Amino acid sequence: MKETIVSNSEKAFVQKLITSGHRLDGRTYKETRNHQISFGSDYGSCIASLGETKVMAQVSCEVVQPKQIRPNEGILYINVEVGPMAAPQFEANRQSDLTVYLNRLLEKCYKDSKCIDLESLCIVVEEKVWSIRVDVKILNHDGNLIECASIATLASLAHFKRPDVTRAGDKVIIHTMTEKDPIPTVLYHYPVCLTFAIFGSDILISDPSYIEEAVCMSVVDEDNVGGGLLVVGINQYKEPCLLDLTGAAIHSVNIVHKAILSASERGKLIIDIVKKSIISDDTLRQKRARINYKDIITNEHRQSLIRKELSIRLKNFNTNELKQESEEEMDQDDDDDVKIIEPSKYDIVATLPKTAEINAKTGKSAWIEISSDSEVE
Amino acid sequence: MKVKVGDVVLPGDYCDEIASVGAKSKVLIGPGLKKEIDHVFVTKAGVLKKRNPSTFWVDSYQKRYIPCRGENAIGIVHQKAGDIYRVDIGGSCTASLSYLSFEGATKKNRPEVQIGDVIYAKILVASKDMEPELVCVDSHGKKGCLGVLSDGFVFKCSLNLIRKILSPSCPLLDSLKNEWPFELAAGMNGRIWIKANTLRETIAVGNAILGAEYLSDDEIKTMCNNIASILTGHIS
Amino acid sequence: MVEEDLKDFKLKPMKCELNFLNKSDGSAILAQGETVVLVSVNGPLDIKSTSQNMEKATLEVIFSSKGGKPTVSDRFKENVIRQTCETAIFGCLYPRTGITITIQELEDYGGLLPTTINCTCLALLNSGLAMRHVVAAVGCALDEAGNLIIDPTNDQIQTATATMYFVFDSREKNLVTGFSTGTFGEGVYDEALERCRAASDLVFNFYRDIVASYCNVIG
Repeated sequence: MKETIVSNSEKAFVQKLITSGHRLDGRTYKETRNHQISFGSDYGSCIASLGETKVMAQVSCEVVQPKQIRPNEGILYINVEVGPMAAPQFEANRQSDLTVYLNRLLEKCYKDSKCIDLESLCIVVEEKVWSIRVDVKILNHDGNLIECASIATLASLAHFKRPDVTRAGDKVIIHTMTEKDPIPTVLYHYPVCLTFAIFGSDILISDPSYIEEAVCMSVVDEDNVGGGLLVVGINQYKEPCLLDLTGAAIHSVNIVHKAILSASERGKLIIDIVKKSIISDDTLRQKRARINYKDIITNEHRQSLIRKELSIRLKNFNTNELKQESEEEMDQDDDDDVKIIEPSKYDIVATLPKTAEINAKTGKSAWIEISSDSEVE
Repeated sequence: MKVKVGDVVLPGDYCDEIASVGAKSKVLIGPGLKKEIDHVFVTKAGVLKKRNPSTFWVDSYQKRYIPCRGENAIGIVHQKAGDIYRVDIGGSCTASLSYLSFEGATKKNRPEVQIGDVIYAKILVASKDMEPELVCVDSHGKKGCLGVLSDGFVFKCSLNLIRKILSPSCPLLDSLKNEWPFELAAGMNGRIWIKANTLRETIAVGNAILGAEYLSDDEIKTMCNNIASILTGHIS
Repeated sequence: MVEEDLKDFKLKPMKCELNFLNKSDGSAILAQGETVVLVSVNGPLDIKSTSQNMEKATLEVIFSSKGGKPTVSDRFKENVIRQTCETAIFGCLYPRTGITITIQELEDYGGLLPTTINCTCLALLNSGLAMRHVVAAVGCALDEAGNLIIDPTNDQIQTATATMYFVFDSREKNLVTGFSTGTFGEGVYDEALERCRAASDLVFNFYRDIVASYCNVIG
């Protein structure tokens, strides 16, 4: 199954829309989609969602022999899986460029930034250390996978608790969760990856959606070559720990600077959300509440399959608060695409008078009459 | 399980009414129903519907398109291969569209179609064993409203939404067309192409269509009014 | 006899949400008791010509456990689900195409496989693929005293001498798939089969309720 290509209309429309200061789903340049983090019953299991993008992360641990060169350090291993669940175009059990890319970025962000105290994972030097494995599974791909995956990884690592161990002479006893309270992982700092889509030469878009990602990576015409995706890893102290650019070269350094500044604000917010949700989960657990993934199933969605956010939305649609936003009119920049024909006031093409079900099985060979008054071109 | 017209049905159910009507006259069975030796069985989950005198079908939820003859679809040109264009219409395989099946096209005079263009076409051949074939002309050689759709915006939605907005009883398009001018082409394959005077109006159309999916007729009217007033800037 | 036993019998609470993932053609998340599974169905899709079947759709099932490396028991589950779905799906309507079913385990507190089968069935209903019938999986456990427990909890499964799982179709309530662990007599098996068959009605009713809850918006 090949990925469906983005049509020229979509590309041109999104490009034009963004240059005129708007976005398809009514967000501003700096606005992100809704974050949601839910935890499973095990420690270190969480599902993070960013709008409709959903990623699950599960941390597990086992005792292994340490690496020769680092005999007193534990091991952190990150494994990203993108299967057909994420979107139909992905194949199962196959390393694609995307998985390698995501894996590498997450490793850079969490392993190479040394945010985890690996030395505390050592049990016996040169013999036994904890190996922590993070399985990141993409459930739904609706753009900005890396940001969602990094939130899931961070939340699951911070949520994870490993069993306590005691050493009695040569023997190492691993206690079960009921015998001794498990130990949380020590995180020196909380890094998180944030994505920016670069449009034109100087427009930065936070949290790009699927179509925005696709459009900014494809060159529309000659004078718009500076499209790309910039990933910034940043921690709660506003220290960048990862920079990655895919796509065309950046013309000016300012844009990176701008991205880092914006990332430090957004990163702080996200890390606060992660910390807050871990604390609230912890208090619930102390009250012996049973946390389970079944809590993410809500009846109201089942009732009507309602999508929580529309992918195409006017800026002020469905907002209850009366925001006084002076929307600049955009008529000036699309005069050119209307002047070809002026659609008559009530020009709607409703080509099929009946529903599909009826037409499908009537079995008539004659084509359905197309009313000539409905013009498209 | 035995079911009646109007009931919620699951695959494997059967309806006696179909058999009794079928004994007297010819019965047309639509999607979601399949005849086996003795009974007509339901194959999809949804609601069993009947149109007099003898047409039965099941209304079900679906996102993936299965090409069907005679339906209009919106496709994206994927590849140019010799005499034909390969067009992605969202089905299991790409559809073919000959360059001769455009209005006024001859061997010398090829239509101007680029890869990535959006095409509104009618499905001429659709069978489970064959690749679907598209045409952009009607039986008189006229293009009607078919052909390449330029500018505007294309988005995907569920197949139900397409049927819903095209159904004559749905107030959505009736309410919208009085508010501001726009053009719209709805493909039965779950794609909608829209174009209006401004980008903002185009988004408003898309917003209204996507928002209508789970609303009742009255709610749709209210929503259209809301959107119209947002557009004119009366309320935010 | 069986009827009397089931008069006020209830399955573990079931909770379900359809269309959970917007990029998949059909998806469902189902919780039966504490066990939670997420299933996505994609298809019919274009697949490699080597795996195409001229007669019917090729079914691919991918089971992914919560964490850690894939194991042999994952392959076993994939196999069971594929065979169950192959009878349920009208594969001959979609020749030379592929249907991919991806399963993600979210919580396992006993009875993972029956929950997975029920969830797969709901995802298939959501995807709009043509099916011959729906399927319902019901499990039962034989405790040390020799009592049969329908739809056992995790603790009951852990202490049971044998567990039996049955999958029924919705037309004639015929057995589609059956699998078991432990040892038991033939008579016990027959009794378990009959009682699970009666209990499968509850699952079918649950499906119908789910479809009824959204049917007002699909019209």
